[in-house]
Amino acid sequence: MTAANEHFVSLEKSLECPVATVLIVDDDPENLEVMRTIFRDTSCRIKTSVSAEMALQDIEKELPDLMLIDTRMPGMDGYELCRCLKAKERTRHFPVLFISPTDLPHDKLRAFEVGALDFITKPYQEEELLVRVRTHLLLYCFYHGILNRNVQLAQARDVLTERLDTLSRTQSLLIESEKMAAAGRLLAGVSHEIRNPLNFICTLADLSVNLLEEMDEALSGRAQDGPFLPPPIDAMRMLSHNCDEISNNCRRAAGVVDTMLEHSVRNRESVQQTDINHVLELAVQQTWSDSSHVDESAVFVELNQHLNNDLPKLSLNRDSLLQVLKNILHNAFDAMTEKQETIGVQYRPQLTLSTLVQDPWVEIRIHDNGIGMDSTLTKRVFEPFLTTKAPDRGKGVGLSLAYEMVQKDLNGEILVESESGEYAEFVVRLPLAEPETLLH
Amino acid sequence: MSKYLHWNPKISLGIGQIDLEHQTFVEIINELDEVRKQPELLYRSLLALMKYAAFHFQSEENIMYRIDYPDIEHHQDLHIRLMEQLNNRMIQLNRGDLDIDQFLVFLKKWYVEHTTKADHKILDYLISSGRGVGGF
Ligand SMILES: [Fe+2]
Ligand SMILES: [Fe+2]
Repeated sequence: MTAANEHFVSLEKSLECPVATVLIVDDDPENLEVMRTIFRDTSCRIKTSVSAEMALQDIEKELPDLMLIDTRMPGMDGYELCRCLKAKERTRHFPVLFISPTDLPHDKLRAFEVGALDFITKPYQEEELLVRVRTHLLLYCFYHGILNRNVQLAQARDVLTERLDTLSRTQSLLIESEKMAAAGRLLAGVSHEIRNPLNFICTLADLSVNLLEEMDEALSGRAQDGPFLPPPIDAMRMLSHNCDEISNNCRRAAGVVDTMLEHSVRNRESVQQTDINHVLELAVQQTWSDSSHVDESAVFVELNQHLNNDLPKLSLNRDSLLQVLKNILHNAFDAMTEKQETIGVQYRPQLTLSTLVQDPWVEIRIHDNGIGMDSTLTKRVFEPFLTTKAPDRGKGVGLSLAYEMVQKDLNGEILVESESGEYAEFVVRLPLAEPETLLH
Repeated sequence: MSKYLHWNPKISLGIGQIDLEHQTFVEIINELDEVRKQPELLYRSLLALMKYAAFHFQSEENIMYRIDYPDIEHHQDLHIRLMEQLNNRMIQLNRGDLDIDQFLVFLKKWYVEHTTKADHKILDYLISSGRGVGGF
């Protein structure tokens, strides 16, 4: 095949029109007949109207995909017809091509002014006409495709927005329930601590009441033959001892209540001058006792502390900070426990805590040599639900809660750096001064 | 009607420029007749005819415009109508559907009728409105 032939074949292919209905409006029957022959070999379905008025009626019945309109017609002319089409919502975006027996410049301008997409002057070549019609049909197809795509995209966006709403509602519920669970754990510990002294107090009080009744009876002579009556001086000693014990246990219970109030999770709004090192130490102690309480096979962890003793006190919500540090430390303990379970005795768990001033922040660094995280996990570690832990080791909300609290309650930042199998280091950054103070 | 059109005084309007263009028109029609059996040449001559017709019609319409010829729109419609027919014939020629003899008969008839009737009315208007033909 020669190059010229190839060109001819490709031209022939390009003349194929999409399957479409084309309405031709012309007052001259001979013109219409010639048009029909031109489109005979294409996949276009041709309809004809002999006047603009007829065309308007015809498109009420069936909307074509494209219109070829003669500019010069008695009665309503082509320009007026086009104006009518563009004024109606139903036909506004609809491709209109003019065929004109004249090629006067102002005719062309007028055609494009009323919204025509193309202006074909006579004499035209039939191939040229077909290519132009085909081009505008394809454009119209793409336009429709894009419209439909837009509708689909808008629908997909609505669905996604709805799901995102549901997700963020679920997330807040979960975070809330995690806070409740933390409160519950505290309450369980507190109840346990209070129940012991209360039991003592009850027993001692009952014993003392019995003792007093017996003494009363002995002194009033109603039980002179009672063989078990202790000598009064002994009874007095026993009562005194009981009272001392009751008093001690009351103080113990009161101490527990004080601690509970101090650490109350509801006490979130209060901002106070806080010694960061002290809170960090407190968090370690509490996490330590929590995890040894939960886990029988608690690991032996070597604790390294590099605490800056000149750290300024920060005005912040102490309880939020405590909760944040405990959540991070829980994670660290879990990571080290898990590593020990896989490696065994030759593993030496190490927890390194540092505090330092990095203007404009105070930084708390919590470094553990546990199982660490790969880069994918590191990026997602603050998302809720994300957990690599066994089901009995937390619900995977702890770190996301920490993230929330650092951002919202403490106006700070939380960062993480890790290498899978080696270490994880969490950095909590707390602002040296409140934003308001910085402004003035 | 003879095979060739001949220029004769009956066709002449006495308006120099138009007469000149009409003579050229006649020559192109005769040329079409000569190449009627040679499709490629026929196509080229038909193309020349259409282009010359467009030029001549524009030229004639400009004169009508200059002299405020009252029937200009109707005359223009006649021109446009012929252009449309020529366009249709051209498409038929390309498709091999054109009856050339019939087309040449039609063309000669149209030409003679148009120049002796419609175009002659322009001369009539010039004379009756007292303008004369001197300016053209
Ligand atoms: Fe003429
Ligand atoms: Fe004329």
